[in-house]
Amino acid sequence: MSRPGELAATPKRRFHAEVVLYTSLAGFLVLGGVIYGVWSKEAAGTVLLVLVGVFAGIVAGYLAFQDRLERTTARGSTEEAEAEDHDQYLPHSSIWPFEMGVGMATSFAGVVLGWAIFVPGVLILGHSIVGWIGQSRHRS
Amino acid sequence: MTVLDERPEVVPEPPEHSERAIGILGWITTTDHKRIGLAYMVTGMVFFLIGGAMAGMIRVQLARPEQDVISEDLYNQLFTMHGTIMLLLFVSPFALGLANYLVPLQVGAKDMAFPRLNALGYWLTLFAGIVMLSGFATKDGAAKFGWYGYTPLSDGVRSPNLGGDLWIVGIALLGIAGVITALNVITTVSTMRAPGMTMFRMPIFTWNLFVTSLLILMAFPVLTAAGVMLFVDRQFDGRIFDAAHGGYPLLWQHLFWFFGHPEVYILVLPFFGVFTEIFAVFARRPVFGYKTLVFATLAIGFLSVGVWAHHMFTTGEVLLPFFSFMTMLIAVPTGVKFFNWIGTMWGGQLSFRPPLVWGIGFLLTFLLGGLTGPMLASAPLDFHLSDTYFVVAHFHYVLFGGSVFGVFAAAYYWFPKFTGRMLNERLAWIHFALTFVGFHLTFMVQHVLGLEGMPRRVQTYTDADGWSGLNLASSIGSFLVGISVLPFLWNVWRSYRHGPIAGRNPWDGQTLEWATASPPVPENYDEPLPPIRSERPVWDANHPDAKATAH
Repeated sequence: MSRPGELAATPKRRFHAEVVLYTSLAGFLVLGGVIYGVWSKEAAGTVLLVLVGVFAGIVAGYLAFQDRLERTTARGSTEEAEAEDHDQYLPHSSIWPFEMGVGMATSFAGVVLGWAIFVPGVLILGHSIVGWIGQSRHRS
Repeated sequence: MTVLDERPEVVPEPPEHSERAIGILGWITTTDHKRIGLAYMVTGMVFFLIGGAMAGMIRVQLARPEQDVISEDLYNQLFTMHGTIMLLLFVSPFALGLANYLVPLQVGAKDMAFPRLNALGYWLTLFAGIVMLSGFATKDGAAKFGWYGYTPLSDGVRSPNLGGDLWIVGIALLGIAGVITALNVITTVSTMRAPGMTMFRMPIFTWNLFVTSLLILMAFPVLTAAGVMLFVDRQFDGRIFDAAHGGYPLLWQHLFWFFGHPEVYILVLPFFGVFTEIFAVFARRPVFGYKTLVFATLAIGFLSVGVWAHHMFTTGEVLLPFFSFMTMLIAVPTGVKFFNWIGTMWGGQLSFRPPLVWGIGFLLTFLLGGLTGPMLASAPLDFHLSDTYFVVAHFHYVLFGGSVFGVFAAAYYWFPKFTGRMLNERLAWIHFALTFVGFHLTFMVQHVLGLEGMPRRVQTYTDADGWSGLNLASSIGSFLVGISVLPFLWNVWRSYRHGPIAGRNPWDGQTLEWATASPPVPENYDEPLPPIRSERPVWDANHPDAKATAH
């Protein structure tokens, strides 16, 4: 798919920019959270800042790990990986997202509006989950 | 349903168009990012009209002193739902619709990373809107505790109506929808870029949507969690926010604004991206300071999670110096962006087509909203101005001047790509002039009203207050804004059928969406992509003689 010379422009570490981004986000949030916590002694904001920072750190770690995997294992098999990328499965149409939307909306609203709406909502939601998984499993 | 059950024997290749359902079923079952994007945008515009009608009713009530056109109870419902609809059901979905349609096209991908989840995100947004609005059909009306639902006003004792519960259900659904869509955008950007499309060659619009999606991931789960906590308090006697039983009402404000302030940037960053594209294309220049713009966007994204309590200065329970400083700080990267936009246009060959006209209107309007921001960030001023019409004026300058101008600029800019036809420019000018004059008439005077002490959310006032003249001016302005939508709607309706054919690249665009047919084919690209060696591959391909410009 790619022309000669183009692939060379793609950095070897695929997620390099993202790893730097998420790491700095994590550092900023955790550091900011600690400063805020010590200074204000207010619990809610401190927990939120540090927690979001930790989550950003998890994303950074995961992407760095993927990069590492790719560098150590994918050498020589790049073309296969490329081919796989381009043959990704794109369902042309699917009724299940719509049905799941109906199911989630009715079951959530059913908690307020009563059993007559809640029960059908849960049934629709369940049916849509089964259908969605079924469509995914039969894809190949 | 049986027919659909048999569908799974899809052969992955080659794509067979005949498989796609047509008509209304085609739209219900679609997983095509372009159709979902259009559905988001059309839905957003419908909610814009509904929310706008509510604003019109509010302005009718406030046009003269001591009127009782709209009862106090209905008035409370109207301003609550006006805010909710405009923020969560109009601007957000419209921005996510643009993201859906354009991010895959701009990075050279065939679709979003998770097409079916993408569709689910749309349906949840639509149904959340319907659930929230259905509150008007209940006995006690829709939610009426303001769009930020402060406890204890929003608890089960003070707001026992069903509409309040339906509002929370809608919030939860929207939270899930937002997270799904944001994940989709982030995954698409990180994993589906065409060969050669490095992160620092992505169009600024895509960059901004990427940062917006990060913010959604940080903010929306907090909103959903807060909504669930409030729901537990109301339905199951949870007492999380109930001070009488050891709860902490201010916790709601912390949680809500931890979502609410990033939300403001979620609403405005996508349109910063829109305007950046427009300034570059209509000045026929590359973006000035591409990397600076990217880092300014990232800085805004990072800082925006650290400013939430500037909405809570008057509670007396927050760390004023911290939030005052952070809020002042966040004005800096926004100023950097202004510098870049002006630099992009500077010395360019400006062509004053509708998208650029809206862009310049945005620069003027948003600047005024931006300037009142640091004023409110200063705690001593905020204590005086909090909860007055000054704040109303400030955030309408930011969100109307930033986001709604952006919505229309994007509509004029990308309509040819979406439909293959051009919009009428004379109608576009009428639309712009009415909106611009009407908007400033409506909200400029509200600064003064706020300084004179008119509190927001009051249903009426007396003549002795001395606010009558300015309120009348504001109401007249709002009707101009209301009327201004008509030429736009007529333009869209008419041009969709009879507008001049646009061709692939009517504006001499720079980014990859202009390298395909208008409207794009289902697989997005009908011919191989141009080589991607800068942030404007289509321009490079169309102007091989142009001097190479590095950022």
